[in-house]
Amino acid sequence: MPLSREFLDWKRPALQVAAERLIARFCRGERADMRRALVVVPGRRAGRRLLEILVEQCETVGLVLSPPKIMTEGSFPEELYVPKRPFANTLTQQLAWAKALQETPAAIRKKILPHPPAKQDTQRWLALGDALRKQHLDLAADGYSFADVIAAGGELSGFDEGPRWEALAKVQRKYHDLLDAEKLWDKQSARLIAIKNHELATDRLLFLIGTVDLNRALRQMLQQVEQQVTAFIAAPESMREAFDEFGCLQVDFWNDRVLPLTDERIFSADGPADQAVQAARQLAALEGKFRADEVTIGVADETLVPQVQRQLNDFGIATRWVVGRKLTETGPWRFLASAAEFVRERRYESLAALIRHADVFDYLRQRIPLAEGQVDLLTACDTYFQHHLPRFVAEDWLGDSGAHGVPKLILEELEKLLRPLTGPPQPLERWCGKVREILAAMYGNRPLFTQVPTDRELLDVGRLLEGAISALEEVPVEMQPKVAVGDALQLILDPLEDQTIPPSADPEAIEMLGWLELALDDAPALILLSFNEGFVPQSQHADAFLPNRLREHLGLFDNRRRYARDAYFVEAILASRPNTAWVVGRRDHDGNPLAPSRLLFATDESTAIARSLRFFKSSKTVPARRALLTEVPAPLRSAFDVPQPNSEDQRRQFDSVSVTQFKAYLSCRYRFYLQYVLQLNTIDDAVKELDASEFGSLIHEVLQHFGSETELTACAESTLIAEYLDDRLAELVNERYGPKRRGVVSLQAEQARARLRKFADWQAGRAAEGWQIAFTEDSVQQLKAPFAVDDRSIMLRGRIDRIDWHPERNQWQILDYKTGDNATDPMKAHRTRDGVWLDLQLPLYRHLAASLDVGGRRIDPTTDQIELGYVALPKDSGQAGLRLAKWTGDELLSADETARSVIRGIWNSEFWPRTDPAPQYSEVFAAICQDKLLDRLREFASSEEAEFASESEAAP
Amino acid sequence: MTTPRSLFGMFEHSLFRASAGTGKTYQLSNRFLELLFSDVPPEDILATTFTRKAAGEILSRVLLRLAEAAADASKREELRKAIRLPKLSEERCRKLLLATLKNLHRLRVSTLDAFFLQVAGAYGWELNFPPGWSISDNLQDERLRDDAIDEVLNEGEFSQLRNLFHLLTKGESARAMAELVAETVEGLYSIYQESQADAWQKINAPDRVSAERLGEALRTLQNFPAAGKQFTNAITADAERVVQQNWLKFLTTGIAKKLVEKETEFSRKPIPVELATAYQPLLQHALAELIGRLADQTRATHELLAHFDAAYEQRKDAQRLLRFDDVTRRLAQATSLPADGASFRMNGRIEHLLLDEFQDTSLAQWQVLRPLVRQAAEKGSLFVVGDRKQAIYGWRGGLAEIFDAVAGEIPKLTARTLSESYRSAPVIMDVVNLVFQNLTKHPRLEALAPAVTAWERDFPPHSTALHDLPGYADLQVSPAVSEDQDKQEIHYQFVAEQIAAAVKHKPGRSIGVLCRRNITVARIIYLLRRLEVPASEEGGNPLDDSAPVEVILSVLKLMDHPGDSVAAFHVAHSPLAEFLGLKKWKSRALLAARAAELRRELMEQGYGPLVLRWARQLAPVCNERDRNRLQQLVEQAHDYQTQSTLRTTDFIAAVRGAKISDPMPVDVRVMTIHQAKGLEFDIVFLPEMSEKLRGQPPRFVVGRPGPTEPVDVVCRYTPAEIQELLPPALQQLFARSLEQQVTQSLCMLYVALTRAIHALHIIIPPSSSKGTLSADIASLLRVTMMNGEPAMPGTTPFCLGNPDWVQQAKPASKLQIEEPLPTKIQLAPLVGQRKRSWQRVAPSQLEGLGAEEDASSSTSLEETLRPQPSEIKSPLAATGPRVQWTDLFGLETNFAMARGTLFHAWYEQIEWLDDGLPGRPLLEQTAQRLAGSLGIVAGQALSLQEGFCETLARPNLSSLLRKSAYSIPAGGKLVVEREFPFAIRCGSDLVQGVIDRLVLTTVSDKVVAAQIVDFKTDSVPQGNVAALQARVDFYRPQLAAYAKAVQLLFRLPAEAVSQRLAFVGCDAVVSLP
Ligand code: SF4
Repeated sequence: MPLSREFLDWKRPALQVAAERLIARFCRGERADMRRALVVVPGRRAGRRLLEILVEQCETVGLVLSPPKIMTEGSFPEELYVPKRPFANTLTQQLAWAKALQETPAAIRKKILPHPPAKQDTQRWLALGDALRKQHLDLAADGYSFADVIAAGGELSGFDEGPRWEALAKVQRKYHDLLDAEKLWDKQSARLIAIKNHELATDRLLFLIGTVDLNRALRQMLQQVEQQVTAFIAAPESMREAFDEFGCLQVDFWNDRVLPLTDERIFSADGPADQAVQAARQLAALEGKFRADEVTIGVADETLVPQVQRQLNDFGIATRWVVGRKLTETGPWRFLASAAEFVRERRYESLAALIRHADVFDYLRQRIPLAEGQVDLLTACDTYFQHHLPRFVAEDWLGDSGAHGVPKLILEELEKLLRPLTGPPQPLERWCGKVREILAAMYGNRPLFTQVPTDRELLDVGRLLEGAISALEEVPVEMQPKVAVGDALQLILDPLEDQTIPPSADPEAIEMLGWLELALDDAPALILLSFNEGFVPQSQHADAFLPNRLREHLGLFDNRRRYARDAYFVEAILASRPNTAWVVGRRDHDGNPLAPSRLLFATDESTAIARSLRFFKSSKTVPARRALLTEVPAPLRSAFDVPQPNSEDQRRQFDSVSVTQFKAYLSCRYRFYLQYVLQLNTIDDAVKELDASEFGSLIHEVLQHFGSETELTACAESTLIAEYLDDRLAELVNERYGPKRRGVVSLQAEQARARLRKFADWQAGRAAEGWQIAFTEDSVQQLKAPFAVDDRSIMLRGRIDRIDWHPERNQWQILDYKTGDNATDPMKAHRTRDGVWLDLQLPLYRHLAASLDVGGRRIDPTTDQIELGYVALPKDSGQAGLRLAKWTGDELLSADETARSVIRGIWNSEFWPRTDPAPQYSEVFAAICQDKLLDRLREFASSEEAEFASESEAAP
Repeated sequence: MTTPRSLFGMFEHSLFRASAGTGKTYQLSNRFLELLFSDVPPEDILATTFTRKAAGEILSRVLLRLAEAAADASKREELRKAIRLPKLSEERCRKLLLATLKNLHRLRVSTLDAFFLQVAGAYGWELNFPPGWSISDNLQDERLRDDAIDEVLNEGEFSQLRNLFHLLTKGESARAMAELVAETVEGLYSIYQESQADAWQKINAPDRVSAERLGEALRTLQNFPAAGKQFTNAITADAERVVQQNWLKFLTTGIAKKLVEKETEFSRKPIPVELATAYQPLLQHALAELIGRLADQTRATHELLAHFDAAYEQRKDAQRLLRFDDVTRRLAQATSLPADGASFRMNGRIEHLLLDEFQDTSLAQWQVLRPLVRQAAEKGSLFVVGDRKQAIYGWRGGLAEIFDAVAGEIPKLTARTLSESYRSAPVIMDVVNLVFQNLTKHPRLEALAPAVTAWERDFPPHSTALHDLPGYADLQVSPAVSEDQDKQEIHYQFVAEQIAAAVKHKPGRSIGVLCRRNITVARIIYLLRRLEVPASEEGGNPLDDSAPVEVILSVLKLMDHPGDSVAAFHVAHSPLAEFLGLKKWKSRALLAARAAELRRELMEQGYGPLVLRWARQLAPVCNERDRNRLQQLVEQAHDYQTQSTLRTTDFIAAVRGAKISDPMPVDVRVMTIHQAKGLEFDIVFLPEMSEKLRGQPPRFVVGRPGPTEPVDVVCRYTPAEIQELLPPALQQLFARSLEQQVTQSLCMLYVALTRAIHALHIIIPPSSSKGTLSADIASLLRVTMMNGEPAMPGTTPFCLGNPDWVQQAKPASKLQIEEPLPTKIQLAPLVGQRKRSWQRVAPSQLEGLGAEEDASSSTSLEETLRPQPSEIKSPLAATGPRVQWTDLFGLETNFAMARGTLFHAWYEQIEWLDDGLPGRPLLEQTAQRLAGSLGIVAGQALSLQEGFCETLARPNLSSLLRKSAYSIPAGGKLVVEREFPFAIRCGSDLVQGVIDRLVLTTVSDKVVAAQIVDFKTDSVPQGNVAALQARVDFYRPQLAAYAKAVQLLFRLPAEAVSQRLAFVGCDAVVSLP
């Protein structure tokens, strides 16, 4: 006697009717004792829902429910036979397949895998193993071995894969041997053997609900216990011919079925966001007839979920998507991943990332006491990085302990924490304890409350991680490869990559379900999104192992079975739900076109034609704007103003001013305010090489050393000078960037060296001409000179790179080194053609120089012959050399006047308005000054290199 | 019914040269329909193009035409004619439509990339693709590239690196090395990939002359007997240049220049032979230096790229990521594929090939396609359509020459030319013809002449099918510029005003403003915004063009760098300051603490929700546009989450790097000509026509042995004066490169002019005062459209058609805007409990809750299961830890777990010990059933069984399992339930579990009392009271939940339900209240 079929009809949701039937069958007095029943449903969600319905129905009629065992299609068979061996876990299976492949003689393996990975490349072998495992799973589910494919393929025209499958069959035998040796099984094989040996037996009663597409192995198993099996079919009795004896779909019937989907239920939307809008629209169209728990939003394309959640959230409607948060985004996962990264190479970047992990940061914060006024951990690291540009975190700390104190402590703590992760490659299981150890150190002592959402999430993550860690331990010792810590962590983390943490229940939420879940859902209203080809139904064509033709021929799950299932789903949903809306998208996430679902055309000819005209004509409608984020009507103007200068914010009084700051004030007084009054600064640790200012500072410092070597300053032999500069440069680079510095810094040092060589040539010539270096800048001491403005006086500050003296000509030259890539002319840099001063640096040097005692002499700007100029050291060596500025006395006086007006401006706090558009685009203040909003052109104009100005950072 | 042609397999192999707007998609769909009507199975047909959008259009067009033919007789007749069928019935159309819709999934209409991806997926193992590979997205690829550049610069032998850079940067000492590498990679990696190493080593420099000989030659020169003043001066100057090693100047001026040019006179006087001889070694050396530098730099560039390539490939391989072009290249290089490229694993053999936009095919793509093309030509049919005049993707690897090459490959290929437009008004076509038929009238093309002549020669006169379409075209000159005005500013201001006028006077018409460069697009958008003309930028800007977005980015920056006072200041002065507690921007400690808290929030909630929350705060003070930008930022944040890292700066970089167009639907779209390809507009503005015909000089020039063969010579670009010194073969390379540049420029002009439907407005700046013609597009337009007259400021020297064309045109089709969104969504109120998807609670998961909560006494079960709200808010305030993370770890060994499972199974066998101990056979049977899956071997099972029996011999446990432990009321009975499953609802919780042993006391079938027994196999040391107490506390909540469930289930009062915890290891039976 075949198993019995019961038609549930489909006017009402299948699970409800099924529950009624179960209760009717098992009700005895006050008890509904279903302990003998084993109910099989397609997926877990249906099982959960069935239990709810059973509980509810029993509650209503006052029955004491002893629930049945509810299992999914994939897991119930093990109830029907006694597995004689433990099952190998997935990792073990992967390893076994990989090993089988590895150990297959190369001559045979070549037919499958002509380019095997390197022997010790565990990850790759595992990936290959996994691919074979999946083929095995697919085929074994329908009772086939790899060898069976050879024969079956032979019956197909164009099948030229015989030799390949023969080789695969050999690998499969090897795989079985390997598991045998460990006395392990994989589930599929155990089932096939149980079927073969007629071992299936049970004293339970089996009820199948909605399992409309069972594979061959399952059918064979059910056959052996058929007396006890009842298939509940969600369809009316009148549709007997649409189902086979197992209650599964007759594929041909459903492929030819005309579906009763009517036009007024079908809606279209442009992109994903518009589908979300359509979801909101449809929800509104329900006009408050349904509660949140009576509506389901179906998402055939899961990537739509965030959009829909966000959109409905705007309307104050909560949604719940079973998938929840990805494990990869959780703290522990990120901790392990970034720790692995850090341990692998000890790059500074990975340290910088690791310490920004919230848990790691707290951990460090607790262990590293910060003195009052000390900068925080991150800023300490940022500062260290900016000065020394380390590539690796190593023992050779640069700078003094003030600079590296905190970073050093951080590193020490992290090393303590991560010590277990060091060591040579070792068998998998040895790593497990070590990984648990660092997880415990980080998370172990924290009290967790199962009801606090973040804690609960942490516990869920812990369970998943523990599962993955112990999976490593379960691998038989024989099969364990020796791996480095990175690989071990990868083996723990990789299988978890797609895992998610289910969101906690929200009593108010509308549920979102995937397509496969919808058939057995029982909410009266459904809004389905992405009713598109490729989603409903999906289809597969090309494949490395089992292309659709071969699947079809073998009777595996193929495109026709997919179509049949989805067609049935559509009809079952339409029959059992009073309210459905089917939304067809036109474009996907990337703006690429989507085709409407084929199921839309499973209709009569004229409807199909009409729908074709509707869906294939290009749409001219513009989608409605998405809901805004607020109900407040939008003002015409946004209220984001550039913050006006504010006396409370000012950090400093100006009793002195640096000569380089005038340029900033002249170009934009507001940006001057930001930079010099508020002293704002930015931090960027993404830099890859020395920026213009660091590069310049390097050269300046070398030249300053040179200037203080009185022996050499008069030397006219360029090679000697160059040698000296070379040495200083090498020392300085070593001191600043360490012996293990980035290669790129060394390359830049080479470039600096080339420029210094050019300087040496120039300097030698200069000495030969009789010029003497009378003064060079002092890195510690700034020059100061009082400067009278009206009846007050202000201190001018600054560093003069050098002052040369030509005794015979009685001539002074005040010079500034310029290290930008392109040589600039001091005249152009300081003053426009129309006589507007842009910069006052050189003219004001006159006053600073006057304060100097140069070898017992004083320079008098009013009487002495003073020339001002740049010594250019640009990238093009042909451009290097002296560039003098030739201003007349009157011009210089006008410079002084300009300086006075600037100082008055500063004293009067005239920092507004800002110059707009920005005189020179700089990313630093762009956000505050709203540069990108008003004129995006700046972004494209190549910003000239910021010239090094040693004074710019110094506070008074 | 089949057509006679399909019986003989006689489809024509056709190649269509389809000029702009001539309906190539129509032709392609004709062929596709023709094949379908001939009952060719869908799998056998492959149609490819370059964008998924275009692929979608082809598919839609095929189905739409079929549907129209099925619905409408005139359309049917049209189709019949188009595909040249003798007759075509409605029924046939209907049948075919339905069959095709049913097989929608089998139609192969895709991009080349997607098709190649399928092939690669099917043959990955043979092609040595890394197992489990995937295609990298832009962000991933950028990271890989950056890392690879980083590796090139920082790893490996430094001396090698130094030498390499020494060659590379010869003569210059620029600061930014990383930038240099990045630029080199950006510009040249594709050439690298297409060439072999020796291609970069083909520049042969003459040998350098030894220092002695050089010195000698120099002396000879310096001492050369006077031969007139000019000579003496020139020689002195040349000698000076030699001393300074200024070789370029040496070779390009004075006597040396004449000698290089093989002239015999200098300053109209013959150059003495001895002098020429004296110059020889110097000339040779100078050439050696200059060409040698070129050769060195070219070679060094290759070496650098090779380093990069190695690092990049290794990284991609390690992460198993590939780019689309990697897939193509690997397929192109593959030798192990079946000859037809795709067969069994591709689910069918492709016999009919339809290739769209063929001029954009790259060499590698062609190499993959070639066998398929041959196969199609032999067994099925081939259809190729494209237009070399629109080949503007040369920089992306498109190789228009392939278009002609295919004609040579396929013997019976019928070439057709389509030049009748279905897009443009006659006026527009007139302008196109006027320009492209008169190109060579430009008098000063010089070196550019060959390319221009070829273009003109190949240009077919255009016509239009839309004879009555009204239209207008003009060429305007922007106003004069005074001394102090910026030329560009005046020009573009004028352009913007013209566009604004068009928007005003021709409402509802689509306007395309097509530029050459991105910066111009930005400039025009900016100017239009100032004129309050809404315009959208194709491709869009990064979102940071909006103030509130910048505020959010500053918050994110501050989270990453709490020391960044710029960000702190910015945030502190924004509407977010209060909300985020970031007003005190000077307090470093506060910033650091807030940053840490925000980083935690971010880790726990993700970018989407966090950014959304901030955006909501900002929205009230934002205008429409800013709200849109915020909304888009929120969307970007959601999308980004899966790629998120621990650094918010990565997200900031992603935002600043991604161009996202403003969603406002507008009539004016500003874009580059590249982006305009495939589009059409009612009105087209061309404001940037001053580009040079020769375009921007390329960084490198390349040569190929044949048009469809890989690059075999590469040479770094060098200025014209050095080019002239190069050997002829290299000079030719530069000449060919120039030709390509010019052709490309003309293609751009062609694409630009042909986008217009009705109106075309070209705006050029005034000519310089002399009005000379130069080799730029504007001059070309002056020559062809204004007889070469100078462009006088503020004039309209050319116009054609009716400026008021709108009057005659069909009314503008109004953009239909969907009905607005509802403002509110009303759901029925949720009264009472939730109907579905209840919260699940399993008592066994309640283990570990604090002992102080007495579950069974006063509180309801619901309360037991949920801590009070106050506790949720401050978990630390509760009296003690509930669970620790470490509790989850390796608690039980596999064996202990197996033991527990087995013991439970054995206890399940016992109803009452009064009936005697369970029989050995029963125990063994039970064990056998489980042993296999538990991995317990026979010996172990035996000893476990002994252990089990021992527990039963102990006093406490054995009495627990005897009836005597229970007092039975009169008329009552004891019923034992073992492994008792239950499920009950409790509020909107579903409580579900299994009770090990439930002893029910019934009186006349009514349950009056119940005892719950739970067996615990934990190893609690005998006699350790504290340890036992701890375990009891640990399990107490679980038992309490059972008790509550049993109460509800059997409707018992609390006192009727008792609980027993049985620790079988130490024979402790604890009764709980
Ligand atoms: S000029 Fe000559 S003598 Fe003077 S220091 Fe230099 S090398 Fe020595």
